[in-house]
Amino acid sequence: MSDAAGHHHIYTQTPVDNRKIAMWTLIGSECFLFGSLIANYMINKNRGLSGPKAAEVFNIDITTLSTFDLLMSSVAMVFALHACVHKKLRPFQAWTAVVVIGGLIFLGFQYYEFSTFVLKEGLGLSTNVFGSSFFLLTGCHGAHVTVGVIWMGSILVRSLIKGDTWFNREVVEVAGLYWHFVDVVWIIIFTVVYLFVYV
Amino acid sequence: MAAHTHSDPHAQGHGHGHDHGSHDDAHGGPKLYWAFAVVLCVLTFCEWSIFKFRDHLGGAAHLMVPILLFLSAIKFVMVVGWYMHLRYDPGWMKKIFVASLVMGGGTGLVLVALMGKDKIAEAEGHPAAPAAGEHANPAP
Repeated sequence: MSDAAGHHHIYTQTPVDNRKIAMWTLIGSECFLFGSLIANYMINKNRGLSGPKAAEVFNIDITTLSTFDLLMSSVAMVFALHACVHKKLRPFQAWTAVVVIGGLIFLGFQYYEFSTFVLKEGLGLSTNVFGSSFFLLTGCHGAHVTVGVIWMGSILVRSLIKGDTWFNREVVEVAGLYWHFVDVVWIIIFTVVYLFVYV
Repeated sequence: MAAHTHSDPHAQGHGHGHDHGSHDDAHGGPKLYWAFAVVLCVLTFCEWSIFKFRDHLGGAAHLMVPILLFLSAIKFVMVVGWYMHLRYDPGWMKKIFVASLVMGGGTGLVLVALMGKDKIAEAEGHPAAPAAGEHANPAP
């Protein structure tokens, strides 16, 4: 339903937007997905008949930089929502662009890491169970980042096209929840997968 | 086009639909966001430092894992609680996330407990768990 100003009215039985509930439910299901993938990695990280192991291939310095990058993109997401709420178009577009660029930089780090493992270290998806579980976990996270980049990119493009007439707090808030969750998952992966490499 | 949430006035809970910008400032404005950004950076730097200088920790080396887990948990709570605004959401929404987190994390922990290298070595009749780098299931 929409009024003369073109605003959609969303009716709900709860005090919260249905899309926000749906996103939190999705995030809840993602907890199971990543919980299982992280457990799979922890079980298999030192197994394998051939090929390098985690301690031989990980570059913690590079991974720390990519962690900083993802954390800062999360900060940019907060400011993008803040600008959207206060209907400040240029800051909103600028912060959303920072989120997208941050996500792309993270994906660049991941591409560099994966290509180094495959081409230099000889660790592929099927080299050993460590490689399989590692690429499955970090690849799944990278796929989530990719979806987030596309989502935020589409929001940015829509705001660029429609200008001041496009300020949809709920859409930005739901996209922000997704983006922050991707960041939260990486916080756990960084500690459990990378920093616990000798544990 | 902006969307407005119309809540059932009889609905349970004390949550808010975030209809107005003034609500956002009640959740902490830019100053708080920047402060959290600095704290997140500092905590990540601490994690990196602990990892890099683990050989110099001496008698405190055994505390590395719990300390890293603690720092990670702080970052987790900061992002989920403040950046994701869960702290300000209705209680039943917190329950959705916390219940899923506990069940998902619990499933992971049970999997590790059941299928960790020691358990598999026991099941296969090995006297001790294989060392890191060895395979738990050698070819016959």
